[in-house]
Amino acid sequence: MDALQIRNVSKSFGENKVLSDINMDVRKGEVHALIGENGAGKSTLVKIIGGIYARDAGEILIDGEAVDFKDPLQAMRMGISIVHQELSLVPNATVAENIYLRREITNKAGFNDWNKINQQAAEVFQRINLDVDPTELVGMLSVGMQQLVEVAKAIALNARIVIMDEPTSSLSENEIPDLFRVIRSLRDQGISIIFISHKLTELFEISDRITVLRDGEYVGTVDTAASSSDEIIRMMVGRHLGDLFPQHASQIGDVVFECRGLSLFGRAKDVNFKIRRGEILGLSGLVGAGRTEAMRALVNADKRSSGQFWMNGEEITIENPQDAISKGIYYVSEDRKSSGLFLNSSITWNVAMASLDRMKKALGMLDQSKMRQTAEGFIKTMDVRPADQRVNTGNLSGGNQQKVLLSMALCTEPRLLIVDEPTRGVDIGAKSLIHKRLREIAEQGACVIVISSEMPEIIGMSDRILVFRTGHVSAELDNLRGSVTQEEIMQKATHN
Amino acid sequence: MLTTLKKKLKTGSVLQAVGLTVIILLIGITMQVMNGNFLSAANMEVMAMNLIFEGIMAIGMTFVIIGGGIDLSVSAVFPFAEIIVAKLMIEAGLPIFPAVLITLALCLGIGLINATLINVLRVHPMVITMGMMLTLRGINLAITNGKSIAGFSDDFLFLGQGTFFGINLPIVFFLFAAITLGYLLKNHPYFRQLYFIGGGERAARLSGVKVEQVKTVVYMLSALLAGIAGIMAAAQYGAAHWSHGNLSELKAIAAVAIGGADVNGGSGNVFGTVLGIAFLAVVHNAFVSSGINTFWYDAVNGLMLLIAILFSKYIERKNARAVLSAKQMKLDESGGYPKANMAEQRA
Amino acid sequence: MAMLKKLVVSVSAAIVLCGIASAPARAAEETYGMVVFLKGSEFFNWAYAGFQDAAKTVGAKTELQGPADWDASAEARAVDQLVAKGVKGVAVTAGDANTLVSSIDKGIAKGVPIVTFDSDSPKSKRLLFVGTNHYNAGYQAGLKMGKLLGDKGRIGISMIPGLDSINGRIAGFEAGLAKAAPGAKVVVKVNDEGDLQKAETVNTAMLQANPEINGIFCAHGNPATGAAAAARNVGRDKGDNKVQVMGFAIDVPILQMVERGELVGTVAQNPYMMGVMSFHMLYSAAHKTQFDNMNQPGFGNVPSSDLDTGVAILLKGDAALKTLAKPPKL
Repeated sequence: MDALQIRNVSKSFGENKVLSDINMDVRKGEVHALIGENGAGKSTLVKIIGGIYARDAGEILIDGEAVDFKDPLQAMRMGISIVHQELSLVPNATVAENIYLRREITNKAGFNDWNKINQQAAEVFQRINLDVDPTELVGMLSVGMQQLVEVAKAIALNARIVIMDEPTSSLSENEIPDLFRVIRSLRDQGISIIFISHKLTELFEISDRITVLRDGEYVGTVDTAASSSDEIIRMMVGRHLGDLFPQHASQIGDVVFECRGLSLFGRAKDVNFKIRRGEILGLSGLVGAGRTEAMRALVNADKRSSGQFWMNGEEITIENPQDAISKGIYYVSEDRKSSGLFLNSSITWNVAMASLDRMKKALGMLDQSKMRQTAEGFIKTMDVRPADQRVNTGNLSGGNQQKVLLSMALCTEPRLLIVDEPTRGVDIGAKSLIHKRLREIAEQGACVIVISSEMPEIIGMSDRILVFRTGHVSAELDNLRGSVTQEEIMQKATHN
Repeated sequence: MLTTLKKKLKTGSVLQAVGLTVIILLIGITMQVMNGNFLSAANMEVMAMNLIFEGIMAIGMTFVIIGGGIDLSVSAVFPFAEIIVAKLMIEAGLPIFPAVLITLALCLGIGLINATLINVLRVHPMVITMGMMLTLRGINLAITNGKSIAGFSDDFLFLGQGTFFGINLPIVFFLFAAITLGYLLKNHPYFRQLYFIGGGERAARLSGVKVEQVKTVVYMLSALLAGIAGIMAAAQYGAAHWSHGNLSELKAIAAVAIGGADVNGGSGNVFGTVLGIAFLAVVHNAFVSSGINTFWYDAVNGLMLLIAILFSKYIERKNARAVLSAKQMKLDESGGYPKANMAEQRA
Repeated sequence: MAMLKKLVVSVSAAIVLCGIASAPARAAEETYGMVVFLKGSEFFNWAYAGFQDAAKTVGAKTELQGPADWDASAEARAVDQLVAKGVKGVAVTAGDANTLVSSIDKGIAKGVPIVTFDSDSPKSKRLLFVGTNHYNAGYQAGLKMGKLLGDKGRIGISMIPGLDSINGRIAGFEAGLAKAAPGAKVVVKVNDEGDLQKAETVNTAMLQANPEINGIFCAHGNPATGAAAAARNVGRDKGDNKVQVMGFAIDVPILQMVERGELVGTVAQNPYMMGVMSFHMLYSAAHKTQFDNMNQPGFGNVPSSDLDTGVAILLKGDAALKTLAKPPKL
């Protein structure tokens, strides 16, 4: 008997049909991967299983019994737990209280029995072999650790089915093995896991079977062992993508920008690098190793403690991100939602937002028609969908948001473009387009710095790679021929 | 035990409580030395009674603010309860018990309306409860023509003027409410949900917290406490008047914030609020005792509110700084590689 | 022995004299409190200025307490605090007559003299009320209007019904008018609800319905501005057929309108004297007098009825218009 059966489930939001006739079976004690481009309907399906959304049609059976959840709590009581992509923990409460929220252990009078709660939380951590103090405040933990606490929360009350929505997206490379170890031990205890991720390598490492969704429809389920990443990609996009990454730089010019002695208190120390015309420089390393921190310090988004910069041989100062933009340096944040896009504004406004100075006509009034034209230009070159400049960016999918964010940067015509995790949470089609565009920009004479946690992306895109380890640059690797290997980077990122 | 204390100190809430207590004592000692009557029984009683009704409202406000909301309507619910209970008893001739019961039911209804509007319209609670405050104030004026109602029975007056073991009844009620509700907030799973709602409503919802239901209960609690305060005030003053408790909502909010709660929600406790209200009372008393131009009193209150917020932000920063310093030391040592579960915090 | 006796007498006399001489020095340690229901209101600033000035004459200290926004209960608490602090006397203007009763009575019971000023709390045990006698004020206004318009006077009154103070003013006005011009008449009374806009509307309607009206008496506050606007609306703000409007306020805009001739005059209360007289009443009650207080034994003697601080009818050109336009220093 399958632990979970999904029979012909459909769901629409208004006119928009997001799921039609989805079928999926999850066996007891298996890791079942769910994959599909952004907008394929994975998140909606997960929310229906978890009782957050109501389905329009179809059936859901748990251990062969039809269920109909009215709220997440009911689903939880039936043993379904979701580890959401965004963290759902409260920083001001302890680890144990977070884990037992809504399932508190109470004494006879109905009050929380804090000792028991802490004790049981400790047992849960023991079960998945994690070393966390249950009385620690969640806010004091690292993001990666919080993600593992989320997993602990999911299994704390005899979960039979655990759904993980991109659990690795905020983990560093060396935290992922911890997570996988936890997943395997859960599987061995007979728990079923639905694992959602964009990263094929992860799926092949951890899953037993893979189900692919495309445009809200069920494409198929395959045994992981009998499949290949080519096959999965074909199922996802319906066509063969071929080489995922564009060619490396055709020619590299003179030094355009130089950075010396860049430090950010407690985060990064003494970072030095040069970048040449037409070059893509990749910054690699574990999350928290100082890549993002150093670049934020470069544009002074976080106040740096030291650092000197030269642009085309001339020393410049960078007071703040606006100043950086005016000097041709643009930093694109890794978090497009909270510090990148204006989600309540149209594509037009977002694209023009950083270059309003150039969008003026007589009397300093904004030239709206120029703004529209510019936006339409970017919509075309970046293949933004829907191709309507009036749409609010909040209504776009992740991939299209990322394209708009990049357009906003390109609109300022930067000489040095710094992109932080440019393809995080982005579907494969958008990803390959963003990669192509970044290479084109470099070929047109700009310098590009790419920060990424994805090794293949770093190796596939960069002409040169800086590896960060604990706040320092630990290695500089030449990669003009794509010769650097993941092992090499990992070695530099983790060992002396 | 020691480690938990250390941890709590790190979060700043205990530090703020200790600091506030010290400031309150310092002001008290200074006033005693300067004027010599601070500790007199008469002054103590007057000081305790001065902000007692705001204090009762502040307990409810603590719940609302921890849940990420705010309730400005309490300052209108307060005289509303006075007026209704007066009308029921003096004009309609009802006995105390049913009059009080009906009044409190109406107050609960106001809390329910507040919460329902906030839940359904999804507008910031400040706007909704301000609308409710202005509406209720208008109603209070309209149903009384701006005049006060007086002539309560002695039995009713006892609720506000009577004593229990020598302590004024409103103070007894305040202490009772602070202890029971404070304990519930600290230990009851239902009220613990507030911290999750205030800390992250979305996350709370995903974890199965019935956000709307909890908010409704909390706004009703806030209105109920304001109503009880109003009834006791009518008994204390022997009159019901629309002007009573004007601006009390701001004092209640200030007490909660000075007591160390995050005005954005997610943290705070009743004990802090009690300290906050004690602070406001002591400062006001100091102003009256020293005869300084009381125009400055409001300025000092406002300033303290800002300082309290600054202080909690400072503690927050200091903690982040401490974490960073530890890392900088590692950086300076240029040392090895951090353990897998080292706190790699992102600011 | 006689020598010694003389010495003892003269020494004791000297001590007594010194004691008397040092009385003002002792008064310097005395504090008197004033409590208002709207701290910062200009009217009460006048009163507090008078209170301060009177206190200075005997070297006493004063302090002003009360809410910045109308709250009678905060006044009650302020009275309690002042009493607990041990002030020698409290003057309070009642934001609500009933609310203050218990606080005033408690203070009196503790032997602290309390008077009300401007707004009374008649059910309380306050020693007396210092303020405008509304009947007298209205009577003065009626006399003036009668003299101005003579027997042909046809008057409309703009008012709020149901308030004792305003009813008193109107009764006084009618009596004064009859005394000065027996042929003059009050034609109609309209309700302006204390609101400027409303005052303009109802007075305009009144003038249209009763074209014979040649004078308007505004029995309270600012609505005089509305009544003047009404006269303008019907084209009777100048010329032979001008409607003469009399106000009842000392706010600066009203004073300026009198100066410009838009109002024929305004009834000016005397808040400064309310402060001065309140202080003198408190001082007297706080110190033993040869004859005890007749209503409240134990206190010093003060008048046993309310104290009228009077009004002045200010017309164009009166020097007081300029004096009142400058706010008091506190």
